[in-house]
Amino acid sequence: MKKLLSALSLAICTGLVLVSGNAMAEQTIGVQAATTPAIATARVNVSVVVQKVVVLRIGDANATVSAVTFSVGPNPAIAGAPGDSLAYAGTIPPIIGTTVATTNPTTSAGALTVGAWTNASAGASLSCSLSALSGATAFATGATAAGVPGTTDITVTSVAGAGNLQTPGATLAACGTSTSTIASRTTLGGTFTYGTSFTATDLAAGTYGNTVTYTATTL
Amino acid sequence: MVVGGVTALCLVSEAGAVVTISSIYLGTRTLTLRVGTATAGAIDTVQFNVGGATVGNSLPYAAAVNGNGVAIAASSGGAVAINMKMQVPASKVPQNVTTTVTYPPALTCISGGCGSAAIPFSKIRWTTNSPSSLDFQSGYFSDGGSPKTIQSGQLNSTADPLISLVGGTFDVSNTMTFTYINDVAYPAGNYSGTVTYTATLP
Repeated sequence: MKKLLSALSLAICTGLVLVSGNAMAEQTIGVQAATTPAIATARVNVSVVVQKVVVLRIGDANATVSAVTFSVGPNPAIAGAPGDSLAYAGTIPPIIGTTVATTNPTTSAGALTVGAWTNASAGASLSCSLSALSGATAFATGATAAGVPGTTDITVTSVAGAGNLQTPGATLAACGTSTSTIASRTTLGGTFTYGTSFTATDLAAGTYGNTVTYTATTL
Repeated sequence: MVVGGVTALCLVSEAGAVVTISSIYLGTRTLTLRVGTATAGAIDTVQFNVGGATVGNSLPYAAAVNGNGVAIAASSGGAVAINMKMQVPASKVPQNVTTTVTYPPALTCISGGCGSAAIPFSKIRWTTNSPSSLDFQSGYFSDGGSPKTIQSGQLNSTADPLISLVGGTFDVSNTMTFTYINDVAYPAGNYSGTVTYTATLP
């Protein structure tokens, strides 16, 4: 609101203005003849700093690690199993099949929703690595060996297309050796679908697995 | 030699916004413009940091990533003082004065890997403290870098009849508070641009 001040206030106001004329940044003065335009200029630098951001989602959009579990057993399942001395009239060895279940989420067995985004100009790379999973024997390197399923036996497929995040490789054997690309400022979605290629009857009874850590790294 | 001194009128809007008109000025017509804080010889920098509140790797995050359209305040230098003062002898009264700002179309990448990316200057806006019609106005930069007039006024005898006889001084001070409109996710990096304020007596 505009105010008209008293004489005393006016004097104070003028004094402040006069004091403020000393040693100021980017202050210029224009002095010209009466017929020439007078100009004074001053500058300000404007700066915007944009942080580097990379987002990666594997599974549900939360902090819980998803799990994909393959169960290998008689197919069709034996009624009443697990248990001892169930009646069985099939062949020896029995037909062994593989089923898959997923937790977090549980809605689509073997398939996890994925997503990625980065604002790094050169984009980012997606890699994976394998580490020990508590209570499980690690997958053998490469193909099935000594009854232990191998990293090439666990397949991972992604949805084709530029808008979908691609797996680093077609199997877990690609972990540590291959990467896929996350384009800059492109929202990637899709799913990673996990499967198996081992021969079920080649596997020894046991629990096998690894924790697969996916890492998006800006380039 | 410059002579002046008897105050005729001081129009105060709010803290940081002052328009002062005074009579008696017998010297050469002069014009002074200052933008920035009281640090001699330096150009002030208004800096915006665009990003999350936390910096680190592998932070849990469930929301979509994009600019949220919310104006963010500058992390430093967001409030910039601006002062224009003209001293006019009686022979030049009435005297118009105009202050404009010119700027490039965009803030360009200067480091941090953003390459040829640029941020339009239209993402930058400023507000002034309760400006009167004679004061510096609030506004925003435009796409394409069209100059903006942020202040326009005239020293005449309306405020004080003496001004037409003995000249006078017209002094305008305010503070511009800058904000950044965060509605687009730009490539990571550091962007910069310089705006130039120009006061002109025709």
